[in-house]
Parts: sequence; C-alpha cells; structure tokens
Amino acid sequence: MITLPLIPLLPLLAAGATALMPRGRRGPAAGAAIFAQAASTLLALAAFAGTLGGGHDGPACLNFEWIATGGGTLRLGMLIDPLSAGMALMVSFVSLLIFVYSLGYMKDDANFARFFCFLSLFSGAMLGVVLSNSLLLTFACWELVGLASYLLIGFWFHKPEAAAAAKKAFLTTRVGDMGFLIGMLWLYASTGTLLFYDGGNGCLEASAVSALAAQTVGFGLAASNVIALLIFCGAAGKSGQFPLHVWLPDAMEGPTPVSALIHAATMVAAGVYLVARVFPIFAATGVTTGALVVVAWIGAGTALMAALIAVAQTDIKRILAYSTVSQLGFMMLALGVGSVPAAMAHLIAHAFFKALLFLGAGSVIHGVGDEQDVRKMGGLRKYQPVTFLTYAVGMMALSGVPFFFSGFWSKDEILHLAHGWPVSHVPFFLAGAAAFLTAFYMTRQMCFVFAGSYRGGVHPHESPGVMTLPLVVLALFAVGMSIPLTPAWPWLHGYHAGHAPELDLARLVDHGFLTIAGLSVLLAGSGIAAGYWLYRKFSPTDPLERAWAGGFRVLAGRFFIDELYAATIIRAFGFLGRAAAAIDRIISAVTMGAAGILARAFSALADFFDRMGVNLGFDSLCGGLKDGGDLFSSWQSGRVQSYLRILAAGTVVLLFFVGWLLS
Amino acid sequence: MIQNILNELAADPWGVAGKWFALAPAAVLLLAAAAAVVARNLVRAALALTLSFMALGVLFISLGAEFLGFVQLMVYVGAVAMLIVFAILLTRPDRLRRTATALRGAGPAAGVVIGLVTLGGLLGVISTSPLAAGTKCAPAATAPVARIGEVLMGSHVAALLAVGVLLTAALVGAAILAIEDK
Amino acid sequence: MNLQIFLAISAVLFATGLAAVLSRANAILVLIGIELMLGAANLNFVAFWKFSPSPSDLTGVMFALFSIAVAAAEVAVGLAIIILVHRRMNTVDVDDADELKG
Repeated sequence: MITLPLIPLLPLLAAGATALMPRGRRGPAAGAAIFAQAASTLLALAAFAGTLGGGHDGPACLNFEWIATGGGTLRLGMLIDPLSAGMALMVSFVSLLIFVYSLGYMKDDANFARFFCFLSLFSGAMLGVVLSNSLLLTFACWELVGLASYLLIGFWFHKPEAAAAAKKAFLTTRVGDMGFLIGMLWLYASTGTLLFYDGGNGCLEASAVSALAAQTVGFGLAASNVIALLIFCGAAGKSGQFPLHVWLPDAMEGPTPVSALIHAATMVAAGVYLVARVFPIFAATGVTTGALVVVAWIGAGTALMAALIAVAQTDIKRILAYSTVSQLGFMMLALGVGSVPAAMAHLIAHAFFKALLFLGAGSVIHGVGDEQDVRKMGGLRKYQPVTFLTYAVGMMALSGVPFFFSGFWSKDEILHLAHGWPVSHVPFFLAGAAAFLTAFYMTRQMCFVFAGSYRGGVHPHESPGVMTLPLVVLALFAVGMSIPLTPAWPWLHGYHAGHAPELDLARLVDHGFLTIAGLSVLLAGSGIAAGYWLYRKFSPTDPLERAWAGGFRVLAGRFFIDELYAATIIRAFGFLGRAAAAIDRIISAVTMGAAGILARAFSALADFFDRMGVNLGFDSLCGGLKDGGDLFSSWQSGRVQSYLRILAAGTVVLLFFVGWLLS
Repeated sequence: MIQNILNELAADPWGVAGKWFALAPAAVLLLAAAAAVVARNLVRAALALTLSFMALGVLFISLGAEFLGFVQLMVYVGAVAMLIVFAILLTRPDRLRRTATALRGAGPAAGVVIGLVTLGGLLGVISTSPLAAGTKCAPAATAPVARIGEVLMGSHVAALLAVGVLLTAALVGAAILAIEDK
Repeated sequence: MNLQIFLAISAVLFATGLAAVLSRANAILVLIGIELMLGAANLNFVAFWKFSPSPSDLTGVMFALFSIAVAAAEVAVGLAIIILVHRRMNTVDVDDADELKG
C-alpha cells in the first residue's frame, strides 16, 4: 500500500530525469524510462496479487490532505481495488513492451531521448489516472495524459500534418474536458468531496450517490445523471466516441509506438475506465434508466459508424484507428448495458491485441521503407513471417475468431448483454453489424498487406528482434487472455466482484450463451469469408467502390464529419476571433487616437502658455532687471568726489531730520 | 545775538574793539582757510593753509591750551604743511602748466552748496542750543603741561601707546608706499 | 567771548573744509580741506573744554592732542598715496581715478 504512489511516480521521475539530462543521451534516457516502467510493472503486479484473494471490503485507499483552505481541506488519494489493479497491471505491462519496441523503432530518429521522456511522462500520468481515488487527481492526470498525447502525436512537429493533428487532438479532447470539469465541479458542489472512497464519505459511496439520485435539476433529470453525462463528455472525448472521434484517426501522424500505446491500448481506454470508475453515479437511478442509456446508444452508434468508415480506408494505421474507435464503442456499449466487468474484459483484451496490431503495422511500415498505403504493399507474408504470424493472431482476436482468442470471448459477452438489454434491441443489431464489419475490414487489410505479391518499391525486410519480440509476447497474451475471459471460468467477473472464481463448465452450454456465441461465430466467419472473397486478388479500384461508388465515397470521406466541423464550428470560432480582434483594434485605435489628440491639445496649450506667459514674462522681467541694473551701474562713476558729495548731502539731510525730530 | 553786539558797540566801542581784537586770530584763520580753498595756485593754497594753521595755534594759546597750541604749531605748521608743500612739488605735472583747479561744473557747485547748507544747519544748531547759549563769560581754565603730562601717562596712557603704534605704522606705510622701486 | 562765538568760528571753518573736499578736483586740495575740517573739530573740542563746568578735566585738550597726532599720520600716508597715484597715472586729478567705474 505504501508503494502505491510509486507506481505512477517512478515513470514521472524518469521523465523528469530525462528532461534534465544533457541533450541526446540516448542510453540513459531509454534506460531510465524502461527501468522505471519495469519497476512500476512489478509494483503493479504486487498490488494486483494483493487483490487476488478477494473478500475485500471495498477498495483500499491511501488518502492524504493536499490543500488546507479556510473552509475545509482538499484531499487527494490513491486506491487499489480489482478494477484499478487489473487496469494498472495491463497499462504498465503493455507500456513496458512498447518501450522495448521503441528502442528498435526509433533507433534512427534524432530525438530518441525526447521520445522516451514523453513516453515516461505519459506512462506516469496514465497510471495516475488509473490509481487515483480523487476525481480532481484524475482530472489533473487526465490533462497530463492529454498533454503527453499532444507532445507525442506532434513528435515530428516539422511535419505540418503532425502539428495540425496534435492540435486537433488536444482541442477536441479539450471540448470533452470542459464537460468533465463542469461535471466535476457540480459533483463537488453537491457532495462536498471529490474523493471516491473515504470511509463512507466518498462521492461514490452509497450516501452520496443516493443523495445525488434524489436531487432533480431542470427537465426532471436527476442530478446524478446530469453529472454522469457531463463526465461522459470527457470520456467520449478521450475515447473517441461520436461526435468527438475526429481526432483519433489524425493522431496516426505520430510514430507507431505512440499509436500503439496511446491510441490503442491505454489512453483511449482511459475514457472507458473513467466511466467504469464513476459507474455508481451513472447507475444511481438504475441500470436501465438515465445516463447509461445515452452511453449505450452512443457506444453502439460509434461502433457501427467507425466500422463502416474503416471499410473504405487505405492507410494501414488509419484502418486500425477506426477499428479502435469501433471497439471503444463496444466497450461503452458494455458499460451502457450495465456491466463493468464485461467492458473491462474487452478493454484489457483489446489493449493486448490492438497494441499487437499496431506494433505489427509499425513493423510492416518499417520493413517497407515507411510506406503506409496498403495498396502499395502486398505479399509481405514471405518477407516478414514473424510479423505476419503475430499480426494474424491479432487480427483473429479482433475479428472474434472463437475459442482460442480473447477478443471472441469479450466481444461475445458484450453481444450477449446487449441482447438482454431491456431498453432496446437496436444496439444489439448495431453491434452485430459492427462485429461483421470488423471481421470484414480486418480481412481486407490482411489481404492488402500480406496476400498476393509485393507492389511496392523497396525491398522489404523483417524487423529486428527488439521489435518482433514484443509482438510475440503480445500475441501470446492475445491468445492467453482467452482463458480468464471465458464464461466457463468467469474469473474476471469474479475478480471484479471480489470473490474467488470457480470453474463452471455448465455455463458454456447455457442456452442463452450458445445462441449468441453461435451468432457471433457466424458474423465473424461471414465477415472473414466476404473479405477474403472480395480482396484475395488485388485490384486498383476497390470492389466495393465498383459496387456502389457513392456510398464508398461517403465511407472513404469518413461521413464528411471533419468537413462539417470545419465548415461550421471552426468557421464560427474563426469569425468570433476575427470579430474580437476587430473590436479590439477599433477600441484601441479610438482610445489611442483620443489619447493622442488630448495629449497633443494639452501640449499645444502648455506650449502657448509657456511661450506667452512664462517666456515673455520672464524675459521682460529679466530685461527690466538688466536695464535697471545698467541704470544703477551708470551712476557708479568711479569718482570718489561725487560719492563724497552724495554722502555728505545725505548726512546733512539726516542730521536735519534728526534735529527736527528732537526739537 | 546781533542785537547784543550792536548794543555793546554802541555802548562801549573801544571796549568792544578790544574785546573783538581777541578774535583777530580767528579772523585770520577763516580768511586764510577761504583763501586756501579758493586758490587756483596750489602753492598759494598750501601757504594759505600754513597761515591758517598758525592762526589756529594762536587761537589755541589764547584759549588757554598753551601746550596744545604749541603742538599745533609744531606738528601742523612744521610738519604737515611742509609735507603738503613737498607733495605739491613732487606731483608737479611734466608740462609746466598751472594745475586746473577750476571751480566750474555741477559737481563743484553742488559741493559748495552742500557746504553752505551744512554751515547753515550748524549755525542754526549753535544759535538755538541752550547749552551753547548758557555760558557767557570765559572762565579761567588752564591746562598746565604738568597736568597734561600726568593725564597722558595716567589715564590716557593706552591712547598714548596706541598713537605711538599708529604713528609707527603710518611712518612705515608711507615710506613703503612712496618708495620708488628702481 | 562766549562759547557760541567759537562754535560759530569752528562751524565756518568746517564748512569751508567740507566745501573744499567736495568741490576741488586736485587731490592735494582735498587733503587740505580734510585738514581744515580736522582743525575745526579740534577748535570745537578746545572751546568746549574752555567753557566746560570742570576745566580741570582735561579731556577736551587730550582729545585735540591725539587728534593732531592722528592727523599727522593720516597726512603722511595720504600724501604718500597721492605721490604713488601720480607716479602711476601721472595726474593728481581726483576725477581721473575712476577705474571702479560701473
């Protein structure tokens, strides 16, 4: 428990040390980052082991006073419970693997040390988000994560696209964060605390939650739902849900390890984690009413929308980016239908295989000389066998190939829950369609990249071991995670609930389960078959485009949402900015002009008085004095006798006067 | 006062003459002084001055201050007048012309006027002053030399010594001033 | 003989001397005027002594005595100055010494 703060602190310290190091020391930078990350992983593992026993009465908290204000104190804290321990372990472990991968991927980059500094910064902040017991601390680390994302997306800042993408990411998530901030402030105002668990006084504990549910604000909404929706704004921004999804595909401008770490496995999962963390508030008015409904709909809608867009993309990383958005939609759907364990299961499974897919894509890009257009790849299974095999494992996990791959189990659980949602069956259909399309576009991508013959220019080569080793490890996890996630051994569910899991094979043949499982197998299979059938032979124009050019154009144009935003919101803000600047210019011109005129008038007046009054007066005075002096001096003849005469005359007069006085 | 004189003259002309004869030195004094002041020739002025000094000495003696009269004669006539004559000789102009001791111009006229005004004022004071009018007869006042000596060395010894210093300084100073630096 | 006569005489002598000082241009004549004024003062002192209530108090005579002594010194120095001025400026005209003219 005491070592809990070290888990986020060690990578932050590594980032600080790297920042203070003299420029360009690659060895110490990478060494500090990897060492700190490995230490955090071990500590997270220890914390995780501590929570395995089950039977804990609520999370273990480490709260401390941060600021003592006049009215009270502001307290922050960290916690460990099954949710955060599992997440922390996943985040730290995947980060460690990606750090190692980056040693090879960024080997030739001149800003190697800076990369690892930012990676450590991100890692520390992300672990801070995961382990925080206070919404304020979460928000602070949330923003730090956003900052690290901005720095890493725009890592190659001399590329204008990268700089623009970084700015877009930051601004879009900022919009969501505004809602988050307002929700946080509202929560603080309503409950008086931002600590999640505080011995009964926390804002997620029973008394506060029920109080929030009882409060109503306008339109008959419960306070808890409004706060939940506001916080969901931040989660939607970070996790790329509609309408704040626009930044995620552009974020692929960053280096591939960044895409893998931040925009697949960890940062984008922070939104899901946030909702999972604050779930008591979401579920305050009941699992099938209120905010969770909104979350479910947005999740399902985003899943389908992103899957549709991914079908028409040609950049290898962009396909994976839209796939990430789609899978995050699945996770949000899981949360919306009321199951935190299902969402977390999919999150953790997704983290492993999506990181695997991104790192594999990075390996592919590295091997074909930094080419990212899938139409210029092909036949790489011969040249990059390890990459091909691991990528296939990831693809199968993502598509939901059954039994051996974690993705099947977690996605199936979500479909099962969506099917059983009392509110509506539409999200189930949306999710099913998305699952079909997931298999379809992943097969399409695999065909473009690995099947057929090579269509590019350079001679492709396999990546070095430092890059392929993490791929293999992640592939093993993608397969291995299927074991804890099966319903036969509902280990993760039991873990979250706090009791020891048991092996229950009967659940496998449960009627409801088999139906949905069969359905998802069908969806995955048909998706893979359709994809293989359409794309096994490469053709310059996409078969779908040939089938329906208009629809394909809409999909390829990403439903033109970016263009819509640019035409409306961004133009509006540009207009406002220009208007403000114009007003400012006018006001300053008027005031400056008026001030200038006033000053000139005053100075002219002063000059007039000075010349006429002072100068003339003074000059004439001096002239008079001088003339008087000249007159007096002319009387000084220098002749003693005349002086004597005057003297004598004066004396005589005086004597006469005295005599007259005395008489 | 004039009325008294005229009455006296009418009463006893020879007595008055005899009385007034005692003022002869005074008359000489005044006339010589006037001559000295008005003279156009410097030497004549100097000689007239000498005469006036002599008359003043006689006047002192007739007033009973014999020692003073003799001192006046010795110092003034014997030394000062000589000095003045020497100075006149030494400051003769190179060209032999009469010193223009003109009495023309506004300045000299003003000077004369001032002198006359002064005279008028003094005479008025004298005639109206009760102190001066009170004493009629000349009492018998003597200043014996022995007494003068006693006073000089007695109560006025400081003044005597000071005058001695003064004279020494004046002597040295005059010598220094007048020495020609060749 | 009374005091007034002598005072009148001394007054006339004084006025003469004053007129000489104020109107004559020659420095030596100015000096002569000064001497006449001093003589008049001496006469005044002696007259007052003569007609004073206590003639045994010789103050008047003493004063006149010392006056004569000082006058002698003053004449000496004054003439030395006149000679010096004559040497420098070749004139004894009082009006020619106007270098302090302003």
